Amino acid sequence: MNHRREVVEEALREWPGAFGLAFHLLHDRARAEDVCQEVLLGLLSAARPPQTDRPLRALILRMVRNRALSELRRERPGSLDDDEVGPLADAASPDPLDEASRREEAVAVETALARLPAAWRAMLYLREGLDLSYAEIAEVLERDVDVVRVTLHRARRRARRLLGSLKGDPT
Amino acid sequence: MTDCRDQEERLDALLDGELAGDERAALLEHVDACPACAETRDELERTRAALRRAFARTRAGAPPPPAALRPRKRRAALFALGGLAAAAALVLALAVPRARLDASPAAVIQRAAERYGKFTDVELWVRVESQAAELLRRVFGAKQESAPAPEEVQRVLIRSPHYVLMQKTPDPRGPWRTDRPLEGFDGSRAWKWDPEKRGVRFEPPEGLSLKVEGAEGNDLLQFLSWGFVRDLGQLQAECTLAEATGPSDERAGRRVFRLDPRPPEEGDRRWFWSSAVLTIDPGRDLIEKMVLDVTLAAVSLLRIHVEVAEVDQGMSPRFFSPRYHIPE
Repeated sequence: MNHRREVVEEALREWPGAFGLAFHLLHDRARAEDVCQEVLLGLLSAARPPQTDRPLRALILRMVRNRALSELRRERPGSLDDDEVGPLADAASPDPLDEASRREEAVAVETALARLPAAWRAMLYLREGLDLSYAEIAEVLERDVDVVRVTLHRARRRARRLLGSLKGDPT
Repeated sequence: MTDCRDQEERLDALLDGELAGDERAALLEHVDACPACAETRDELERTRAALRRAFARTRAGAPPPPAALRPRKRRAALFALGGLAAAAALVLALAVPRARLDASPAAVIQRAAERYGKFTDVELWVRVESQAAELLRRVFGAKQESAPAPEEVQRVLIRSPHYVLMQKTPDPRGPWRTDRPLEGFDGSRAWKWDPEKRGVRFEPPEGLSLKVEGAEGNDLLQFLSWGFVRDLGQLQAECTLAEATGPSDERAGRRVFRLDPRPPEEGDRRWFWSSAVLTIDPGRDLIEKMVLDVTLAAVSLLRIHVEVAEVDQGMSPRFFSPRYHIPE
């Protein structure tokens, strides 16, 4: 099996998902697109298939995530750990919906997401955006499954607090 | 209340489908009996739904994949046909835009390179037949080994997405991958085929630095032409060389020469290139850049035979599409 064929097919399938992951980490469409292109074309131009037993999807997502985080670190040196608190996420900051009450839910959610640490956004996106299981998320992020569970919970709790006034409209 | 707060994390796991068995049953039973936890579950679901909608919008708004990936889908479909069917499909794919392909040999090669080279490693084996070899012999005079013999083939290996490698080989279907050392240039770097590693090894050129200006990776006619003139000393001997250094070159410490090949006979129009410009670094006495001013006056005399092969590292190429180009 030509690994490039396999990579291209998987890359085409994963392109929107990978772009979403990069976008939610970087909050910049152009840079997110650059990151995904670099990762996917880099995989394509590799002389040999990636030496891994992991699923290609997890590999692609992990490379996109790592590349995007590198971009963030270059732009904003310092820790991007899970415990990092977003710059506007303190309790005194106004509720996002106060600012966005007349806007669509999308704006409120984007505002809330922007206030979460990048690593949390990535985890939320992998779970809610790509519907990955805890084990799959752990594979992508190279974390323990228990860490994924705890962090996801914390990320959701923060998001829920930020979206506190988003009432009604259940699934 | 404290107990119920502790349930939040498990409620998340429940909604994620990550609880099973007794643990799941117990939590479901608790939520049914506990209004506070039921409310929490509803909130969690609302947050989850809002996030899912937002993330779905992100994915829907993703830009199209890069060009190097997009046509792959079509190619993948061709691959899926397998064997002879795939070969037939590729021949058809090449044959459809025939009018455009036949514009020039360069266009044939360029088109094939664009069509195939962006997806994976491919080789175009380009056989230059007819008067071309004779012309080149006349250009190079007595040093005939510099000119490709009619049976020789220019092997153009396109390594996606950027590299263009080439090599001249008299027997392209021979066992060159295992017991013949191969080497060549991709326009700026030397490469060697490493039979042990079954891969291409890049090395800096020895005592020579060359860049082909204006060639964006796949300008194959320039590479092909350059492949014919690798013996630069001989090329200079056959051409008139006039200094064309301008003020900006002088400021940059460069010497630029205009190089005009002398036709074997006055008025002979059958030329691959009309002139070339060499930029020489006087400090290192190296040719830094050679720009070939390609003329297509001679290409109508050529017959180009292009074969497209997919390269799988370490394996013999698989041939898809024999293709003959016979210009009017």
